Amino acid sequence: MNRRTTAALALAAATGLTLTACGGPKPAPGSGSRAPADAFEAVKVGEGDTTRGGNVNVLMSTDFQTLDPGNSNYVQTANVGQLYYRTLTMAKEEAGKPPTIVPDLATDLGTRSKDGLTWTYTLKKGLRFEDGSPITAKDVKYGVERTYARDVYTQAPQELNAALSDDGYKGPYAKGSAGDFKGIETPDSRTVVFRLKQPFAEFPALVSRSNTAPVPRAKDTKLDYTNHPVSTGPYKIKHYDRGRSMQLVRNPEWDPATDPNRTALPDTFTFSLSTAQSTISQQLLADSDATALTLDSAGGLQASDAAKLDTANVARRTASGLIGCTDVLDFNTESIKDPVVREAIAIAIDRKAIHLQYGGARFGKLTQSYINPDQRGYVTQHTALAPSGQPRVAAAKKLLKGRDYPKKLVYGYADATPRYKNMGTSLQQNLKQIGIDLELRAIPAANYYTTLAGENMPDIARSGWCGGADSGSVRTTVDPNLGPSVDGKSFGFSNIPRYHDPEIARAMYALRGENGTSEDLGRKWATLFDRGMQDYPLVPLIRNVTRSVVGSHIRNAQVGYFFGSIDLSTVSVVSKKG
Amino acid sequence: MTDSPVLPARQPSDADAGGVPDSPPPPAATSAPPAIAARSLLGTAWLRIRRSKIALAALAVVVLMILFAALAPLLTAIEGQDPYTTRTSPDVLDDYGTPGLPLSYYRFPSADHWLGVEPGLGRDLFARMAHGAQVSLIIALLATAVSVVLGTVLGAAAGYFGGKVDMVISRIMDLFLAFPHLLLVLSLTPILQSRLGDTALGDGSLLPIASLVIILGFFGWAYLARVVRGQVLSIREQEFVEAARAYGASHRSIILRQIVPNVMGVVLVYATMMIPTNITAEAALSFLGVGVKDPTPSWGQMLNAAQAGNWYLTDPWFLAVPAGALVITVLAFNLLGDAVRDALDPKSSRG
Amino acid sequence: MPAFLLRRLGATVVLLIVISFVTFSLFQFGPADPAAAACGQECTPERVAEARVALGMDKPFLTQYLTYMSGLFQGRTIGAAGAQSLCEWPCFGKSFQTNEDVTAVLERALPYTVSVAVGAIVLWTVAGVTLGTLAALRKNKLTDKVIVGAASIGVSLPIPVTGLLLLLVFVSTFGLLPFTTNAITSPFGPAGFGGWFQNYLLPWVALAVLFSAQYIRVTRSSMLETLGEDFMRTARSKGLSKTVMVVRHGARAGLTPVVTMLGLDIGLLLGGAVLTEQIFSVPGVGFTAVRAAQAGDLPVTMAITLLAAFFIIVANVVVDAVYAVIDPRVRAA
Repeated sequence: MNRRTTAALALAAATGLTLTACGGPKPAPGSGSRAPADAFEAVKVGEGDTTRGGNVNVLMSTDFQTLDPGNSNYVQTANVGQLYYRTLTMAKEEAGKPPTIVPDLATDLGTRSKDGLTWTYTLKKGLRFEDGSPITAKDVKYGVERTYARDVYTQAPQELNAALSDDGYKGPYAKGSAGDFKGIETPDSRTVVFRLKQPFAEFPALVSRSNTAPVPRAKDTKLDYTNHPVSTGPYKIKHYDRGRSMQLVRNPEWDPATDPNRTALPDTFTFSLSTAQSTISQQLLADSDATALTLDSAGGLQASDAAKLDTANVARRTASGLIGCTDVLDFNTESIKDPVVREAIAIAIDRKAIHLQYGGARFGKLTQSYINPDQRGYVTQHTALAPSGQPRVAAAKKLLKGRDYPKKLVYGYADATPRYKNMGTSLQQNLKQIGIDLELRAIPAANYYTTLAGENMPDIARSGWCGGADSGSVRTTVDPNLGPSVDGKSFGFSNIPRYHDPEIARAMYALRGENGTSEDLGRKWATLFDRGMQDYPLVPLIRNVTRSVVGSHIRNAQVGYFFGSIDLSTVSVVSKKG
Repeated sequence: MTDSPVLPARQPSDADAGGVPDSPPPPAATSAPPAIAARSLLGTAWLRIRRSKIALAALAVVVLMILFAALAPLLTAIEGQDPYTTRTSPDVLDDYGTPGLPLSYYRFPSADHWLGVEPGLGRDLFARMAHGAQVSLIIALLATAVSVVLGTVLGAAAGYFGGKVDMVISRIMDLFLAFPHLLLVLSLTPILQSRLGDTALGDGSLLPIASLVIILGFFGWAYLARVVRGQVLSIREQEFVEAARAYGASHRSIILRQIVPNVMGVVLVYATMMIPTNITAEAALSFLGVGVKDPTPSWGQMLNAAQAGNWYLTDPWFLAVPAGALVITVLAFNLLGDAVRDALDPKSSRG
Repeated sequence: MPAFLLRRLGATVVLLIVISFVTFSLFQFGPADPAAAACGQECTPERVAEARVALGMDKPFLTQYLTYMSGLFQGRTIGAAGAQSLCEWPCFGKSFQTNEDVTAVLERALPYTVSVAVGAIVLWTVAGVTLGTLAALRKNKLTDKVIVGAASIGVSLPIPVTGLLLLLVFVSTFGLLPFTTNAITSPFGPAGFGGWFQNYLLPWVALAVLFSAQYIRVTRSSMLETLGEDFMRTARSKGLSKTVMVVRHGARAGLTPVVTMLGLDIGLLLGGAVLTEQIFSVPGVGFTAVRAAQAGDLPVTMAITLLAAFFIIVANVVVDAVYAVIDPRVRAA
């Protein structure tokens, strides 16, 4: 045997030995399990602290898309916006529950006319912009007017605009229409009157949107306004180095007597923009900056960080709570027409496995419905889905017996997130058991929702909804997701399943015109929703839980239900560990 | 691709091989002595390789790696695993509500999992590494083949026919050479994949592979074409070609019998240098997320997975497996390429 | 010479125009629709149409392209009627993601790329040339073998591998270096030279390992060749010491290919070292380009593509010109 073969044999022998020597015995099944903490109770960090002063350092992986309240649909802007703008009413956060709508610039939640078509608000006294000029009703109106210029402000929130009359208004920049908006009247400098198309019980929530942030017409620099929006809040922008950093300092013109909602305890806020997310999570976990926190979604946590959340040091600095976003799987009711077939598919799905994809109990709660008992108007919902999320394949097969059902379906997913593709793989295995071949199709993430609304909608797709304009009410979830179009003749734009039962649609359409309280009307909406859900147009999956680690000097940190990140309006910072 | 130096090493003879058409090639710099053509190219290379222990070792590693990649399905069958099955139960992965790191039996080599298991999803690492080898090497080899064919044909045509043909081809070469590759790839890959996706190529794994082969192939040919063109330009002026033309040989026979054999040396050298470049390029693209995507394994995709979610910081083994495979393979190809170049390019002065 | 340069200049402009056209077209055929990405929550077809107007994408392709190109030379107004702004020459448009002037985006990203490039270039050039020359001088001795071996390994270390390993060891495990921060962009800022050095050291090393290996090989082979040439033999026969010989006479000819490579690599790096910037999260030109391409942000991607191509082409021209000037062999011919 020549040298080469000997060497090869020796190598093989050595390798074999190593392989068997490494690793030790296999662990017994179940020995590695840990009971995942039941993380659905909201946890706040440092509640009740009243320390004034100091700086809070906010780490973000991207710059704000915009700071202009008239052009923002982003929760991060809404969160930091609490510091530099105020709106007629405000969504006051309480971790783990939908926010409460409270008065902000206005004296109360508004006076509704008998027919429900007019809402009147009175501004508080002593309100001023950062330059000392008084805030008037005209400034509020101008703020709303700007959001009608949708060819300039492509991201302007539209929930309020959709409710007001004068739909044809094209914004204050269109030729000859400045100040011409008929949806709002300002009889005097402190009164704002809104004219609606139909009654809307949740109107106070609509005016909590950033549309009603006052903008002085003379200082409207349009697309440059985002560089320095004129402040009406407790802080103003000292410098904004786009993409790099921002600093907010106190706004002396803000009168705390007019604002019981914001504690404004820190002296300044600094923002580090465009820091890598992996770096953010490392820094927060290591507490390398005790005054740091992040507004990144999911607390900026990476997959490998989950294990560290258990250590005592980190656990006591972690704020957590349910947030208002729910994920569901939509069926295309136009291609899977039989509701019994949809029910069969729904109960055959292993929702527990999908729950694991979302990070298990630590990051999400299995849910049986799109709406939840914390919302106004909730009534008990009925479903055949197992609360544990376990698939019920036998029952599904029984439902399908003798029925004609499609043997090939397509699942579409947004290509930017691996989790959604992994969900598809899991679904493939589930559906195979009931004899359905599932094809996975990638959709460019940027076009995802427009694709779902268009002609290329797949048969099954995942979508999410974060409560709509008023996450405290069932209506702003039910109406868009299962409701008819604006004219009632077809399904609504956000009704991804394209669900259109003529009777339910008619009832919903009528309900839109009804006058009543949010609670009463909500119950009717929820009842209709329950009926619609018996046709299984969609499969509720997960309510998201956010865990956000903060620096050890941060106090009063709570995860906002709406913001999905630490609520900046109440946060404070101490100067040494106490 | 960007971030790697202009490859291969630019010798003085190369720099002028493909410059602006109106700058003359320096004399005697690019004449491949006809003596080389007389011996078999591979024979020459083999003689040189045989002389060096390192080159032999490199060749062995290359051959082994190719065999390994070819036999990947067999090997993983022996192991009893596959690259796609996820294991997220608490016996395999720490469960903090989120499947985390593999438990110790699974984290390192063991009888069931020769290289352990992936964190977060629990897939067998050996299977992924082996199938990844297949994917990475197929892409690199096919892309090199595309570049070589395109580069040789177009470069030779430009050099031989000259005139308008040369001008057009040279301009196209300049365009490809000037284009910032990575940016173009970033923009082009989604388009290519969505267009190709409409055709029968639709399966999840074949698509990125095909598009990567096309894209990498299209970015490699210009460099080779420039060099081939320079070679052909100087060969064209040599007496034996003139003589052939004088007694009426057709273009085709001249190209096939005189030109091509003389450029094959250069082509072979560049081909062996291009393979490791393409391996690295695929790794880079997949690392950035525009190449091979999950769940199809490739070495670059595994690097991406190790870096995503910061896994490599808590489970360095997960990084070591694809990194090790990559470095060993690229090193072996590089050393082999050096030996081939030494053999075939007398101007290289390593010996 | 001037005629040659003028011709190259013309070719450069033509090349850039072709590249701009190709990039523009790619976006038109791309599957991602920037207007759909730009519109808000409820992207009804009407809102997508309005977004298209805001982005200036409602006009026919050729009109959009010509407007864009004319903006490069003389500035143009951007935006929907009633809310237009003047974008001065050279106008690269406004980012689709944030509506910022692309020029501002580039100005912000460039210092990071330059920081990475400068340090890396110095590091690898010094290391590559010194070690390569040393190896050439000690040819076939142990020093030579070690250096050549190291170079072979270096050339086989892809940037993701080196970069991640460096982060793992130096930042995460041993905490020897801080996390990169994007607050530091130059050695003249408040963090000073030390802060700048610490911040960018790892990206420099990651690049230098790969590049210097290549430079070592080229320098070595080129110096070996030069050392054997006639004019060197003449110098030696004149009785000059080896060091003087190498430095004064050998260097000039021997380093020509290095200069060539260096020029081209500088051109490449200024276009943004994408991989390095991604791994170390340096928000330079490359990092910005990746984000922009993924988001379908046409103006930013266009601008960076043109910028990078410009640097590459200019580097090529400069190198060819310099090469023709300094290589005595070419001049003698």
